[in-house]
Amino acid sequence: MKNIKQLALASYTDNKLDNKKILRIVNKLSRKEIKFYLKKIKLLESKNTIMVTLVDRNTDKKIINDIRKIFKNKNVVINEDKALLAGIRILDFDNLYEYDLKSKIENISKFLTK
Amino acid sequence: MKTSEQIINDLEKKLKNFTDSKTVSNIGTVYKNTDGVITASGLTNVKMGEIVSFNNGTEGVVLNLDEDSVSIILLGDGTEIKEGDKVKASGKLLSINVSENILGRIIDPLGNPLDGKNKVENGKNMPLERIAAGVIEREPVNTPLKTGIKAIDSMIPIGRGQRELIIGDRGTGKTAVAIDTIINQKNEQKKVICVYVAIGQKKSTIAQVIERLKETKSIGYSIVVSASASDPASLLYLAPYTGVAIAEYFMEEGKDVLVVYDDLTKHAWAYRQISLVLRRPAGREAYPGDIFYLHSRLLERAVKMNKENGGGSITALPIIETQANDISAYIPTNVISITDGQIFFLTDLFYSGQRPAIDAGNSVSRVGGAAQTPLIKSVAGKMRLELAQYNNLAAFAQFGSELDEATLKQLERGKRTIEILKQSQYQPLLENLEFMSLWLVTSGHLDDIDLSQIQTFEKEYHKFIEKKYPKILDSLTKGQKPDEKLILQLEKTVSEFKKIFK
Repeated sequence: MKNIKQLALASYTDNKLDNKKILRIVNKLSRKEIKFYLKKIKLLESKNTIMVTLVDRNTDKKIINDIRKIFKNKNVVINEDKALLAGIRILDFDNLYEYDLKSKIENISKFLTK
Repeated sequence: MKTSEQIINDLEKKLKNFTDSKTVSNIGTVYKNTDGVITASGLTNVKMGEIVSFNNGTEGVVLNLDEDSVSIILLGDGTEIKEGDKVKASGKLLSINVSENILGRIIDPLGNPLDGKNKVENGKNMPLERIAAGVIEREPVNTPLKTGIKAIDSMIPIGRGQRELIIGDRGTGKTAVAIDTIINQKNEQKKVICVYVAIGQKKSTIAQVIERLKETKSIGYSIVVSASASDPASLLYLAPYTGVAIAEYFMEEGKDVLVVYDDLTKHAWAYRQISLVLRRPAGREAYPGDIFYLHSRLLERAVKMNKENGGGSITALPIIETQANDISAYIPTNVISITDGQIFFLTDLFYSGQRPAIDAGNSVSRVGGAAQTPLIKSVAGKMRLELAQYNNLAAFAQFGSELDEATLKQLERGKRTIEILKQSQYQPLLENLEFMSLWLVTSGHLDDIDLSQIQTFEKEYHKFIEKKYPKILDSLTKGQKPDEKLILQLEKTVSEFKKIFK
C-alpha cells in the first residue's frame, strides 16, 4: 500500500494529473489496488484544490484574482451559493475559512441559544 | 409574557459578550460509518479526544489518529450520517458543566438531564480526562469514611481519599453495600457528596437505586450518572470519567466526595467493543493493550489533598463482577493491583444467610487503622482476631463434644461474631451503635444468648440504650476510646437489659 501511495504521487506532472502515467499505472494494478490508488488520487486532488464559494461568481473578480495569487500552486475552483447571503467561503483541503454572512448568523444563533 | 422590547434588550445584552473568532475551522469528510464509528478524511489538525460535530448536530469524539484519516466514536445517533457528510472539529475536549445545582440530579455522561429538569449551565467546565494530582499535593488518608456497615467499618475500614474495590459474583450484595454507604453519609457531620455512576446496568435497576436514594432522603447530596445497557458503548466508556470530573469540582472546593463506579467490568467490556471496532490490536481476552491504563488513570484521580490544596478528597468505590468467584481473572487482577484494598463477596456466604456476604479473610484495607476512629479501633482488633481463630477452628466443629472447653468457647464466640456482623439492607448504623454491637460480642456479653436471638437482642438493646441512656450514646459519638468509667456504665446497662430481654 505504501508503494501505491508513491505511485499516486508519481501520477502528477507539473502539479497536474498526467493521463498517460495514470493509464500505465492502472494497467499494472489489481482491482483492490486500483480502489486504493483512486482513493489516494482523490485525496491528493482535494489537497491541491481550493474551493471558493461566492454568492455570485461574476462579481468580486479582484477577490478571485487575489486568491489565485495566494494559492499559486493549487487549482482554484469557483462555486456559487446564494445561501451564503454575502461574503466568501474558502475550503483549502480541510481548512474552512468562513467569511460569509450565513455562518456569522449561525454562530450568533448558537451563541444566543447556548 | 415578555414584550418585544424586553426581548430585544435581552438579546443586546447577550450579544455584548459575543466574539466571533471562529472563522477558520478544521473539517473532514466521512468515508465510512460502521458500528458507531465514523472514519473521516481530513481533520489534519484535530487532537486526540477532541469533540467533532456532524451536519445533523450529532457529536463524536476522536479516538484514533491515522495517517490519512481519523476515527470518531459517536455520542449520539449516527444512522443519518452518510459518506460524503462534512464533520467539523470544535477545538474543545470533552467536558461537563458542573455547579452546585448538579446535586440531586440524574444525568447522562454528557451532562444531559434524565430527570426532566433543565440542563446544568453557568457552572465550571470540568474536563473528563485530566491528569491526577501529583504526589506533593496529596497527604495520607487519615479520615474515616463510615459506611455504616459493621463488617466493613470494623475489619476493612475505608478512609476518605482511598480506593476500595468491591468485588464478587452477581447478586452477592455489592451494589447494596455501595448504596448503604451513600445513605449513611446523611448522618455525617462533615458532609460527603456522593456520585453514583451506573455503567451498563438495566434501567429498571438504576430506577430502583434512585428510588431508594429518594426514599432515604439521600438524593439531596447525591448525583447519579447513568449510562444504561441500551446506551451506546461510547457513553458507557465515558460515564466513569464524567463521575470523577463532577467529583473533582467539589473536591477543589475542599469537600469530600464519594464516587461509586457500578461496575467497571461492563466499562471494560464497552472499551473492548470500541477498541475492536477501531481496529486496535486485540490482546488477552480480546481486550486492548491499554485496558489497565483505562482504569488506572480513572482511579488515580481518587485523592486526599493536603491543606495547602484545599484539603478535599475523592474516595472511589469501584465495583467489579467476577465469574464463579474467580478473582484471578484479567480485569479483577488489574483493578485489585490499582486499588488500596478490596472487599470480597462470596456467593456461598450470601446463600447461607450471611449478609453482607463479606469474606473477611480475603478482604483487606491497605489504609487500615488510619481510617478508623479510636472508638471502633478499641473493639475491632480483638474481633478480627477472634473471627480468624474461629475460621481456623471451624473445620473441627463437626467433632462437637470431642473438643475441649476453650475450643468450644472460641467456636461459640466466633458464631456470635458472625451473627452480629449480619446487617439488613438499607439500614446503616451510626458509629456509636456499631461500637455497642461490636463491644457486646467482644466483651462476651452475648456468650449466654442463644444464636437465633442475637440479632433481636442487638436491635432491642440499641432501642433500650437510645431510650434510657442517650447520654452514653452522645459520649460515644465523639469517636474517642471509651474510658473505664464508660465501660462500667455499659456493663451496667447490659445487665439491666438482660433482665428484661425475653
